[in-house]
Amino acid sequence: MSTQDFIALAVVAAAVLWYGWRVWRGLKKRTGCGCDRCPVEKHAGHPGP
Amino acid sequence: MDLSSGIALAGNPNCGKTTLFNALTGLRQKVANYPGVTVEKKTGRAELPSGPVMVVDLPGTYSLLATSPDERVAMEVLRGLRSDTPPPAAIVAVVDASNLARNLYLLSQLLELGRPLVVALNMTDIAARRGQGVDADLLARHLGVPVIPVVGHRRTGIDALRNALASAQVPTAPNWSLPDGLIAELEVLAQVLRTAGVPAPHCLAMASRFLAGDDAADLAPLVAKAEVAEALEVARDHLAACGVDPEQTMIAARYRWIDSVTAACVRAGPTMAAGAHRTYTERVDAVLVHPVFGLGIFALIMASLFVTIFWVADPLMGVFEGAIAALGTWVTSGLAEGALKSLLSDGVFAGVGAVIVFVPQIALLFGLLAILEDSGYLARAAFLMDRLLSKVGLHGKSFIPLLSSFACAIPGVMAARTIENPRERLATMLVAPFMSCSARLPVYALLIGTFFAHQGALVKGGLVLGCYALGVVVAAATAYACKLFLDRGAVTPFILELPTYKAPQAAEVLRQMWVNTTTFVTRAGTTILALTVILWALAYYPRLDPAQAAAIAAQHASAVPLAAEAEQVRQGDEDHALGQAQLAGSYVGRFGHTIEPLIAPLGYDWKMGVGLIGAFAAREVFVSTMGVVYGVGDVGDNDAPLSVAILADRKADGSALWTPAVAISLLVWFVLAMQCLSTVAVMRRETGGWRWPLLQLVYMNTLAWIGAFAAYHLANAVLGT
Repeated sequence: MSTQDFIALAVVAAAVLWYGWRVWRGLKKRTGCGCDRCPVEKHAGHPGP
Repeated sequence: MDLSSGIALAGNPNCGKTTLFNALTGLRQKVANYPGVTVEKKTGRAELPSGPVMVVDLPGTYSLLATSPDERVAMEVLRGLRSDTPPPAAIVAVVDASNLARNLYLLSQLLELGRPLVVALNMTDIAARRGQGVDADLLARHLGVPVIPVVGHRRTGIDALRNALASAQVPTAPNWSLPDGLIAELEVLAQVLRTAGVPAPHCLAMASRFLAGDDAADLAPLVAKAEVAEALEVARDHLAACGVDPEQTMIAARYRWIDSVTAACVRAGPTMAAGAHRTYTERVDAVLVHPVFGLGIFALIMASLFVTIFWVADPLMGVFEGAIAALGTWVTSGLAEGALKSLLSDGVFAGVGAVIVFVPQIALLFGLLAILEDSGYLARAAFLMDRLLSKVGLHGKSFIPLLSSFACAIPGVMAARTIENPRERLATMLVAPFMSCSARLPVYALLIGTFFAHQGALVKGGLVLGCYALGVVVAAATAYACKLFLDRGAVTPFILELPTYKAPQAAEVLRQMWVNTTTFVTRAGTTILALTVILWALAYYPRLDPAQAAAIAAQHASAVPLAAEAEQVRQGDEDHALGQAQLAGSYVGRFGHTIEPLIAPLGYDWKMGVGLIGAFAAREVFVSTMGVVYGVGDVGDNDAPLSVAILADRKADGSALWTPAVAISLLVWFVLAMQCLSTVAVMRRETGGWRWPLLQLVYMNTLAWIGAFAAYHLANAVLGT
């Protein structure tokens, strides 16, 4: 594997990791129950809306 | 005075609060949402004589007895009930001088909050034009707080306001002239509250709130105390026995106070006194909100908007294209052929560059919308639309969520929370993604710019307008279906205040352009960059088998030496064939071929299919995907604009792959398809389950497939293949 291949694949891996993390974080944030506390306090023992 | 916990700007809707906020904070602003609610939280830093302080621009409200979510947020911040926002150290009550009486109701409640207060008497210029003078000094004496005349959009009075804030004091609540029986009950209740631990200065105001039916969160712990609940019940019983409705009596008392204050402080000039002359705004409104002319002018304004976008942005886009190509060449010129060079030229510059060129159009769109909003026209558009919206089963309040959806469906779906009726709210959320969001604009611009390049701005603008109109028409039909099949529930009236017309402020228009353009560029530099890099890898690997490459080269080899020009053509053909073979054998090529049977009836090949799949991450990724796909395909011609590469692509039989019919079919697909997974996630949260988002996903994409199929075959029949 050439140096160029190695650098390019490292950039691709970083892009995959970053985008995966972003999607996971976004879904976690956007699929809260819709109440006044979610997703800030992760339900915090309250029943939701 | 310590202002470290910040200043809150409070006032009625359309009193010029945001303009004043901009004047106080300049560009030092941050826009977010209050956690868990859709209400926008705008904060900024203002420089006061005592040093920098945070300023929060609260949602407009007519009263502290909140009903809608945004009014509740304003009330909670002002009362210091929100954990995410510190209680304000001082309040700036923004009052519209041209509508003083109406604005004084909220002010009467702010005076009771027990927080330092300054009144910013805004829109004094409009009041003066109406022949209405407000004596600020006299008003200050009546209210017991400093009253600073300001004109937010001209930045006048801002320094005086800053100085007044530095020495703001807690005002004394006015005397409301209540009936003796009510005063007696309030005093008894206040005594009980004092015993329950409420600080003495707040007891009477809190007792008033209890009897006025306030249900704010800070009262709940007190009601839970048996002695308070009992005293409240006794007070209500006593008043009912005397035939006194405490809530109505207190409202009437406030209005008597308001009448006395306005009678003393407002001087009606000759224009007002005569009463015969209509104001400038009324005269313009007679035409702009006319049931027939108004709609015609609305259509004309919208058409002009889209024509202007193409007409003005075209030359600027050429400059962007040239700059990106030059930068790409400069960055990659020192690199040998290989993966890294391909990643940079065929991935990053071809992909992200293809999206970045649309910056001028995005900036113009938001600039023109800001002009319409700032002038006061958008509120008229909402008024005009209410008539049409109610016919298809939507509410007047649906206009703002739908209008927001032209920027992005996510805030649009979330803004539907302000609609009280569940069916109207659900219908609004279901149709919001049909509004063409800004992510679709680069796709429209690419397709229309490529296939209708020789048409004038009028035709191109008309086509973009047609895309927007198609979304609106299908949304209306869908909403009408919801009206037929969903239970309506209680009817809620639509109340809208039409602001006075005023000249748009250049600073506000530029601010809107800046905020929206930077958001677009940030997105191109993050999400789209990451997806482009991933897509490049999927198109670059696995590499073409050397034996297959040699076979292709052999096919294109010439037995006899060619002239320089012919040799150049032969080399170009060989490079093109190699690029196509590489792409077809890559991961992305294999995937595209798998889904090709599904999209072939729409006129698309596997490369477009790859673009459509990429667009599920973000719609504008379609453009960058095409940039990557054609950047890889045209190895020998990396700097060619995407449009040229698209038009040059051929089917196996030599006919053009991309035709105007394909472009129209793609436009219809992008108007109707639900491709934004972030919107699906927000729908899930807003509807509390997966049922509606999944139904929406299936419905919109099925409709898009049928629409694109029909458009392709219809366009072929009309335009010819």
